[in-house]
Amino acid sequence: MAGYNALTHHSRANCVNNETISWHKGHQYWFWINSRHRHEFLRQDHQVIHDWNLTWRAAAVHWGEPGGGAGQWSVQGYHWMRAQNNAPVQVKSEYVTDCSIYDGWWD
Amino acid sequence: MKKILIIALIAISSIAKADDQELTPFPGLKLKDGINMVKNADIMIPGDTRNEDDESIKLKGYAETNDADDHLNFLFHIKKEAPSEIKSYDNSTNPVDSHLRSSYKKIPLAFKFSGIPKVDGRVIGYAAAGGYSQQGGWDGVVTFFEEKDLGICSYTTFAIQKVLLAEEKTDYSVNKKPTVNSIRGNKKSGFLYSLNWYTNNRLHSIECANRSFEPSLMGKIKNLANRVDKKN
Repeated sequence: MAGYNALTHHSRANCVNNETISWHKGHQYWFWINSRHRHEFLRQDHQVIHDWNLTWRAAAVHWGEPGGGAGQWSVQGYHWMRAQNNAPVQVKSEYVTDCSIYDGWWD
Repeated sequence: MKKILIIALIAISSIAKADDQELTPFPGLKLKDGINMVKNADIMIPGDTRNEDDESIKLKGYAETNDADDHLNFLFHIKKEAPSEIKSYDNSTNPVDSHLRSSYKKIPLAFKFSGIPKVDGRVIGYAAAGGYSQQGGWDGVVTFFEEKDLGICSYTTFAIQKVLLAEEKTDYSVNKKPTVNSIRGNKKSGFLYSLNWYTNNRLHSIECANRSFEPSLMGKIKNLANRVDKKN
């Protein structure tokens, strides 16, 4: 998995959860994560925040959210980190509508 | 997988109110893509040591730390550990492998990279950095090198979308691009000299680990940064 070798970021929608995650096994970073979830038909929209934390894995997850409505959610993920000289940096954002891990987690 | 799920469950998270506005770590600031120049006080975040650093810099010329920075230790050790890692992974065909390689040409990169200019020393190795896209490859790379005066150094660049820089801490010493520098460490562990400069879509950073505190080294790092920036 990519996160064992390097820092990796991903979002997933319509899995058991809707989620946005950054991780790098064995390395510590200051992370801030926003996972914005939208239900396309009900027009529900909320944002799950993982506040600043020094960690190897930052996850903004809404557990069980898709439920019976799986397939109707989209997730927009925003990944922030603190650079060496303290500057806050948004390194990546992504919009997903399915459960694939794409560039974050595949083998 | 089960373990990962449990760890995620206890992650510090909360559900924010539904809102049309995209939340950022700095809700009071109107941010655009690329470089955002802001007041230092507006971007203080947990773990931020800038205020303590300022006091130390006034007294000693550097931000004194109690312990050795992880990255400082990493740089001090990489020269010894690089040969075996390169030997093990140099011919890996796994595109997401981020171990050290003998050449950046062995790493699938999604951007144009020409290496660093010639230094009075040698390149130790290269590794992937930033994020990986199955369409293009890695959006960043790090070059580890040894330089006679500077010590053991790294040059890192990777893609970014937004950055917030404190006006009071930023100069334009690398080809007139926003630049931030710091020297952190202590006499026991050594010193980490850091210079970051930014464009709207990339972060660039040179970091050097040196056993000594020598203020003139930052000027030499700036000279090198200007050459690196011109080359890439």
